[in-house]
Amino acid sequence: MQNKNNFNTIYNQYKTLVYNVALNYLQNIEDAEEITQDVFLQLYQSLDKFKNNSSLKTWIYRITINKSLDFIKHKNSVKRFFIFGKKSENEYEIQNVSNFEHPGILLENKENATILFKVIHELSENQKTAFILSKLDGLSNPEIAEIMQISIASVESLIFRAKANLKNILGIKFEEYRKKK
Amino acid sequence: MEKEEFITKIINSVDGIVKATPKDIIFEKIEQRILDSEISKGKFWLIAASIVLIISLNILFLTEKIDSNDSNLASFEFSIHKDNQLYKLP
Repeated sequence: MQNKNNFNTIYNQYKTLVYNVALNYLQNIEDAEEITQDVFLQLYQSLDKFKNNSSLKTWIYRITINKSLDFIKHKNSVKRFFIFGKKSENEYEIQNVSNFEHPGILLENKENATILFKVIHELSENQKTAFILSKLDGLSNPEIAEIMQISIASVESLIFRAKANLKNILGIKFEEYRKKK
Repeated sequence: MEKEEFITKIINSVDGIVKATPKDIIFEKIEQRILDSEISKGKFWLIAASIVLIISLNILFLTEKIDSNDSNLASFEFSIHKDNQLYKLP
């Protein structure tokens, strides 16, 4: 088992993974940096408790995803407290990520990717996680199943439903876009 | 057809995405937060130890006081009732 002495090695090995997963969820550089700090702080504090039941990578994925989802929930609840009457599932998207440009997207795809990042937030948590891990992180279905602690068939179903929902939402957006033209 | 093309283009727009690199300063911030958490953990144990010490000293002091009171009372009682006859016959 790895211990605190090789924390630096672990950081260098997984910093990009943690930062990118957080960035894909939060779609905000400052927030992703904050989550990266939180994840590694928790990692440092609980490395001794880590048991090799799952791989370190899977464990880090789980911490990062949970922290990112909690961060979104917290941010939404704070907004609800201040903005009475404005309660929407997609507040996070409207307030924070409407114009997010991922630094790693190819220049010619930037405009389309901004639209995709906007609609990803309209998916349920599980569909969002499966889609992000599959499409943006490039993980295989068995890897996603291990991280999400569900069966491979469930992962396939989640990705299928996520894509179907995205197609529906994008279809509506296309009609709106065409009407504007 | 146009709609399908639009949707496919959007969904595939993240293909070939390059991983973003976090800033170097993040590690320094993490190290600082680790240090802060260890200092606050140290402070917590110091405060806890102080509280335990104060409570122990108080208990010790009270126990000793009760013991000394008991022995004073016993010697006083002994001085009064030497024969243990509370009601003396005339």
